[in-house]
Amino acid sequence: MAGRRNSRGRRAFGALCLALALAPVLLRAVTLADLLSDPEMTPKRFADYFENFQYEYHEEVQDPVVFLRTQRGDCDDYAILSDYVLGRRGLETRLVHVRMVGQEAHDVCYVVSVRSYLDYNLRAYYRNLERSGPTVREIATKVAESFKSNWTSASEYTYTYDEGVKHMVFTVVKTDSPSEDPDYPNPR
Amino acid sequence: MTAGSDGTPMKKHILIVDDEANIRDLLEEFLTHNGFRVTTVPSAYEAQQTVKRDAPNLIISDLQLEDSDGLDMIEQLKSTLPKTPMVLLTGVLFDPKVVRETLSKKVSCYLEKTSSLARILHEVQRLLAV
Amino acid sequence: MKDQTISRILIFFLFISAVLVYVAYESVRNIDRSMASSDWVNHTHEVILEVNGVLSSVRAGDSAVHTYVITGDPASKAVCHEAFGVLGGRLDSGELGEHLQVAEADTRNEPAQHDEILRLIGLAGKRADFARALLAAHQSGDTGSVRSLLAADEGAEANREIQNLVRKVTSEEMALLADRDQASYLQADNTRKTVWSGVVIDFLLLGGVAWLIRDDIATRRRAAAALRESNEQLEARVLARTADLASANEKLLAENLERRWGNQALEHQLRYNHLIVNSISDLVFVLTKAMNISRINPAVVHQTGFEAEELINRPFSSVVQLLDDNPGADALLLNPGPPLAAVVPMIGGIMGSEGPLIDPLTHALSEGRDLRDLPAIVEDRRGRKTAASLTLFPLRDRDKVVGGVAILQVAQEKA
Repeated sequence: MAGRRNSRGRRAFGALCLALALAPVLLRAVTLADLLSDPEMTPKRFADYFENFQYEYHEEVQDPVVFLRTQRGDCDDYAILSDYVLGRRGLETRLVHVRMVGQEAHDVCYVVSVRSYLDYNLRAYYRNLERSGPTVREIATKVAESFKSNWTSASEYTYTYDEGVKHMVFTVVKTDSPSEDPDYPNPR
Repeated sequence: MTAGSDGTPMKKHILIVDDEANIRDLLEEFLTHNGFRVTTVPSAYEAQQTVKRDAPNLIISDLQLEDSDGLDMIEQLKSTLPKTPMVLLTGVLFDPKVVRETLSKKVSCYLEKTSSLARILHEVQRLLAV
Repeated sequence: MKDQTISRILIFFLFISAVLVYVAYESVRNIDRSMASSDWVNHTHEVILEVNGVLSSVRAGDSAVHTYVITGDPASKAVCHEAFGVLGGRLDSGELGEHLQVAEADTRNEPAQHDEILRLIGLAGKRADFARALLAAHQSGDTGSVRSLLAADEGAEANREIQNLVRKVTSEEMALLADRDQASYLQADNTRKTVWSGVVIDFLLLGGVAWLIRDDIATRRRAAAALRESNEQLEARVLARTADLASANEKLLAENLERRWGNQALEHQLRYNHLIVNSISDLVFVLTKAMNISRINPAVVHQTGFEAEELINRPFSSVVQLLDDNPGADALLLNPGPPLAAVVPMIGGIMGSEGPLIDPLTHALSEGRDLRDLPAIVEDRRGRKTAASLTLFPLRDRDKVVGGVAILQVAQEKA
């Protein structure tokens, strides 16, 4: 009788230990590996992962692993990571840097196939993708609208984590007529 | 319309006694049109019934009635209605002397049926205005 | 009048609408111009910021690379990379790369400034190249070439050149900004004037409309009043006419009653006269002057068996004959005896001659005398004769004899 009571107690203890051991695994944050290996990755699904992330300004672009672990970062951390992950899933993406009046410049990642861009400021909303036309001018207009501000110029750029440097590809100026834009005549 | 002293709306009641229907109808039409309330009877008996039921303000009677003599009826009615004017309206033409001496003592007024309606109305109004 | 006013009002409204539309259009256009203008302001500020950024990036990079080759501090190297971006290749990375690209893009439509930016790119590029060469030399450990590079470098000169260029661009941009701002100010002023003028014109037009409407309303009111007045007059006339008709009607009614009363009175009299005549049991004949029968009473019908229509207009003598002073006749009269058929011939003989038998009657009438109790014979329809006593009265109408009344008293037969 005493033996049976003991074995039951031991089993319960074991279960508790297992639960505690597994807790980090079960409750752990998403990693880069997770993102890259998710078979059902879509722009929306990607964006959903960042629902509970917080805003923290970093002048430099953060290491993605750190970003994902700390769950703190800013707009270019997010945009560049989106470009990286979704690009590896075969989606055509563009990184756009929008300069506005009296504001910090803002970065977004545009996904051509869904005609929308991912914006770190929208991470907590259900609608975390913003629909937009594909030209830089259209994207910049939408971004400025969300800040209730005016933009002055916007650039498409590229970035690799290895090199760690933003390369400006071309720049669109608001006061120019749209036909002068480098990515005209794509407006739809 | 007789002149009511305080403008009373009550119409004066006239009783007509004559055995001829067209006389009765004509007089009734004429007097009603001139604002009187009229009752017509063909005989003295009915006249007496009416007087008991609904005393008239004036009586016009013919001389020859089917059941009586007009003058006799008037005599009888005078006891019931001493103050009511009685008019004798007859087609029988009398000598003016007879009229003056006999008839005018028994009746308030004597009129021949050949008198105009206007004259009859005048006499009625005169008698009822007193 | 009414239509004219309406069309005038419509024209006014058309003008008002046109002015309104123009004012609205101008206002909206001005808002757009203001937006464009503020975009230019922002744009100009950006150019100034970017060219100044170029200057600071070049300086920062420059001093960082110098510091690095002297101290070997990796932090300085990092600053250099931060400033100059990826060295070698296009100047499109790092702070300098970004500033230059943005400044170039921004001045695409300002040729003079654009040329200057291109020069700036050239100058900045040279500094970047110098930094790259220096880093490469340092990397290889070739201190000799590092020193010679440093010696040959005219950094200060180059930096000053860059600075002057930047200042030039800045002041030119400020001038452009002033021009644009003034243009936008004048635009705003113009639009304000346009809008206010439009409003004033519109109010004047509205005033005109109000005046027209008031005028029209006044006219209508007058017309309505005139109509009302004529209506009232009409009503009064109608009332008067109705009253006239009513009183005429009254009169007719009264006359009608009077007439009917008169008729019945006459009828009454007539009937009474008839009654009087008819109640007489003697035979009564009314005769014309020509001795024809014009009326009879029921006693005649009863005695002779002739109806009234059979006797009217027949001679009196066909029914009644006088007996003359013939004793024989007298005897006949006094002695009832056998029917008078026996004496017919005699009488016929007497009648045959136009004797003085009928004459006495005519004679009496023409003289206006009565004839009383003359012996006569009444013949009934079966021809039987009866003795009677004839009395004749002339019938006078205003002293003129127009006929006669014959009364026959029939002798009682002693049965």
